Amino acid sequence: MRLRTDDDIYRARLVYLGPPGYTLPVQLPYAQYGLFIVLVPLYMGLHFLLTQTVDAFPAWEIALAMVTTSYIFRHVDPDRPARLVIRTALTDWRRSREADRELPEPRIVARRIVVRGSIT
Amino acid sequence: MTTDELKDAVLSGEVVEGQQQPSGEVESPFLNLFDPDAPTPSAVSVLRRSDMPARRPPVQPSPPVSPPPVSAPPVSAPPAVTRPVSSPPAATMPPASSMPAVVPPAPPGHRGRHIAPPGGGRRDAHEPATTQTRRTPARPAQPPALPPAPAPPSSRKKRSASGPPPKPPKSDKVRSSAIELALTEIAGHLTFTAHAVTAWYWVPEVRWAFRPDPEREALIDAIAEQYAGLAGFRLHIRRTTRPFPAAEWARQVDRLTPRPLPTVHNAASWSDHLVAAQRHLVGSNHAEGRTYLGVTFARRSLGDSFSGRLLRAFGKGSTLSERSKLERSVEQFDEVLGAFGMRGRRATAEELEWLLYRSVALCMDPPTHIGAVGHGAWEHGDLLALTEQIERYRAPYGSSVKLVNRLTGEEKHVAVLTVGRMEPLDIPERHEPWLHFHERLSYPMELSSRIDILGQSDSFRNLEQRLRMIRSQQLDYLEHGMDAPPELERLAKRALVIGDEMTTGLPVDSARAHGWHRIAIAGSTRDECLERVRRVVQLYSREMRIALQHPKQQEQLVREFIPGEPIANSGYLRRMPVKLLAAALPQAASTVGDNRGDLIGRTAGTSRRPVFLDLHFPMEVRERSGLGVFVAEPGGGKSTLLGALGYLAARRGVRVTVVDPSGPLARLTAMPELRPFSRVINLTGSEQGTLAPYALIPTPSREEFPDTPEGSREFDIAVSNSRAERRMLVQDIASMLVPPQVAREATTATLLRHAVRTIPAEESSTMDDVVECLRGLPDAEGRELANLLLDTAEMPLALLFFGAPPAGLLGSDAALTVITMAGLRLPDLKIEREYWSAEEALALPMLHTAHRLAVRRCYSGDMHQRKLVGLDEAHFMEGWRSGRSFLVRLARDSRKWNLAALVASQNPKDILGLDVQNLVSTVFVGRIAEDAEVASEALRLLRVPTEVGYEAVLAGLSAADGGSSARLGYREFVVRDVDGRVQKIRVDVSYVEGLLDALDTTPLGDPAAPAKVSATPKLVDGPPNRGR
Repeated sequence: MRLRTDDDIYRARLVYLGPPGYTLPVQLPYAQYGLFIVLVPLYMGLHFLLTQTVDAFPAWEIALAMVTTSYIFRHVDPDRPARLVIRTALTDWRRSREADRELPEPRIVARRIVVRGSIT
Repeated sequence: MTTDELKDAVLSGEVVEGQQQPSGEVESPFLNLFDPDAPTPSAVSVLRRSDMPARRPPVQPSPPVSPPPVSAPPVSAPPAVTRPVSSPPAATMPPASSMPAVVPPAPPGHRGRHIAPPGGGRRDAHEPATTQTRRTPARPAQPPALPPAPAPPSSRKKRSASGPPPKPPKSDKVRSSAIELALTEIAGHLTFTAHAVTAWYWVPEVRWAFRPDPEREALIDAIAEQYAGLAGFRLHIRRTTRPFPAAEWARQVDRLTPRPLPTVHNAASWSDHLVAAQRHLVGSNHAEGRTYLGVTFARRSLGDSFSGRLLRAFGKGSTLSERSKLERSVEQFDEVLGAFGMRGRRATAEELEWLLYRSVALCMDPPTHIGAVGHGAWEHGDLLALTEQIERYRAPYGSSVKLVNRLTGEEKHVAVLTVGRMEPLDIPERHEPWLHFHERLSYPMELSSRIDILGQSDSFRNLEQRLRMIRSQQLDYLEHGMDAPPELERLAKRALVIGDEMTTGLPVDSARAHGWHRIAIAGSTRDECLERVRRVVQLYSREMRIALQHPKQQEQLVREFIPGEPIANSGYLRRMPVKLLAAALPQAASTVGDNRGDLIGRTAGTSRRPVFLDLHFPMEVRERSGLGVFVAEPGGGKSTLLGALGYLAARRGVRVTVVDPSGPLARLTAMPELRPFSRVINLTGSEQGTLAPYALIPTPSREEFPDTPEGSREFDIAVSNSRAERRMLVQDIASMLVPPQVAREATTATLLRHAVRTIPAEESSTMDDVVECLRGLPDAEGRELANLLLDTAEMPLALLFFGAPPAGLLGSDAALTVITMAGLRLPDLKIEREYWSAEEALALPMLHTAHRLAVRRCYSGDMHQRKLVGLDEAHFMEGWRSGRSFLVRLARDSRKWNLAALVASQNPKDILGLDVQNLVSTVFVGRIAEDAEVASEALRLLRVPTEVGYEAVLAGLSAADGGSSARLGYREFVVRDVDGRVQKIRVDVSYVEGLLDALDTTPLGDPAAPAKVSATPKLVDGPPNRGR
């Protein structure tokens, strides 16, 4: 029997071509636009925290958001969603200082498990 | 003597630490190496380096005791820890109840770790366990390297004969915090977490190898239907391993051997033999895979979960009412999973504990005392308490997880791979089941799959949404006037087809399995682990075109293996039809043989399991005939296997007779443990009349048949059958003795028929009577025939056929009898008989009669006593009527006389030509590379489909590595056992000392050949190997 997964249907690349009547020169997946929209206020907030001002046209924030988005999505593929990439980036940064030696993890114990021979 | 006791003494390096001294007297690296408390030098045991404490306290005044090496989980921190506190009831479960009560006083220098609860829990856990193992009753041994509670000096003084002081904490600042599992309760086959209940089923193993494709497809379809029947639930498939219970096997073999061969001085006794076999089994690290399937459904009503939480605070688990409700609703799974396909049955609480422990201690060596089922009294929760001992470390760069077992000091590095992109598979035509495929590697791996089964509506909705998105993208392209990539159209069509299947097809076609599939691979060092990972990834990508990914977050992935824990990440979600999930078949297995026989080797296909063969099992238990057939080309290892089986059977007290025309199986009789009980009959040096044909067919006696009129009738029929067989045999022998041109004439046949008709066909007649009768005939041809026969009688070897058999030949009292024809050259069957030399022409009747002599010797004595007869070179019987009737009689009588007959042949055509095929219970096929016809007939004998590629398997058996000039140390066979299981095995009897040397049949061309050749040069007696 020839058996195959359904995954390629879910791997179809869905891109935003542009508003009706105008084709954007660059076609990006929808998810990137979403992330971009989220990142710009984030950077604006950061900017506000550092220098208590808000730009009218946040050029730097937009640029930074574009760069970050493209960097994140370079590592994204259908099997590795964006949130996973972001999480890996954050945690790896935190632990990357100690990445060269091993760290102990908490033991997993099954101390308080009640065991019965039968259901009732 | 079983390995349990042996293991304690020898096989483990575990050791007990003696008493320790309070801190800092003498610091020396050598102080810590030996036990200072050993009363005699011979009782000194050496500590493992990893287990040593930083500093060693001085000897305690408490009574020293010779510490026996203990391999069972040694009893932990002494009662001294809990004595200051009210001791919880000893040895009760669950440890939870004892936990809150045990709080030892914080000792000085204690480094703030969670010492008490583990110590107390462990004590409870081990008390019942170690009562079974050998330990000094007075003083429990101190486990090494545990985080104990160092008792304050006051409690040390209080101590009596039991209890050494606990060890001081280790000097390295390892913080071992602990987190609890999400699982809260095990009840029967159900496990409870806070929000869900899982019902666990054990899935037995199914045969996959050498099965015809339609059967395999039917199996996959059945399993797919069962999965489709579980739509709406989340499944957890877990595959773990269990060590082979060698001790149990040994016990069974011992029980089935009432009269083993008596012990010979200076040779290995029966129990030594069993111990060596167990050692070999344990050393080969055979692991049985166990597959479990858990069906998870959302739990309880609010009231139930609240009351559950309340009760948990008191350590009581869930309410009885909830469990009764569940008991009824869970029965539906029994029906679905118990049907043909998976044939699952409910898991027991012990199995679930085992699974839980193995999931926490992923890929580590399992606690060996659990392997023997029924050994000792492990209480509920004992095993779970052992999870305390597993420490976890995150490796550098996060590529694996290190697990350390503090009890045994074992360290394992585990890496978890997840199934990534999968290309289309052709199962069963071209590919193996994709979750079984990894088992062809020799190290055990564990599997965990978490799957949601979506029913028709859910999966359709899912698919429809996707399809809509693809269509809208296509429309978008259209609107913008751009060319859509063709991939989109293909995917849309595919989605349409699937959607159609889903809505109009059977539930099994529409159900989908969305899930994550993980494989855990372990190694003793990180490099070994990563190397193994690399190999597995390569294997899968090359053969199955499945990409295995090695993601980050290994700790979460390792945790995902534990039942009840959350899923690690949402990436690598595979969506597949349930048929593809069913084709994963992690439970495919490859056992062959019964479990009650001698160890002859291991399976050589996917997964290594030991192979046991009891040649009397078909007759005694399965009530089939005991005829076993060997087929192989010369050099295929038939003689070695025959010799090994003969040796093992003789050891067990079976009367063994082996006919070995050209090989040196006579050397078996020289082995020290067999020498007083064995006998060699060398036909080339025997007396006249040894092979007298009339005497070779036994006359049935009246006692063999029941005392009824039907029995009388059967007796009469049997007597006339034996007479007919004698006549046939004599005719054939006479035809073989005269020149072939004469034998072909019609008159010869007529004359011989007349002669045997005249002479009474009883055992007492001889060939001399035949000659006399022929000479007395009036016509000249009769006299001429008689003279021809007398001419042949001039050759000394032909005298074996004439005359009466000497006394004592036909009885069988020796345990092992080897009938050889030393110095005799066997003819080549491909050459015409006219061109054979006189000696070769005589070899043919000698072989025929030697076979019958071997069997004849078994027709005396007790009918029910076990006998074994091994006949080599049986293909010489091809084309002779008497040969066929001989095999048929052998097959029929094997059950009556409890006679296991092993017939070795180079060409199975003759055996197949008869109905004997239905009378054959065990088949061994060795290497067949030259003759395609023989190969296909051998496959038919195995009842394996021909023309599908299995001929290549036969040609590849015992394939020597072309690059090396060393001799191959093993032989491989494809075996079909009495239950119809077929598998490739590797014969390995190296655990018997001296057997391989005795069976070493290849000429000693190269004295530097490895291993199997002994150091001192041996005299190779007997002829060079011909026709073997």
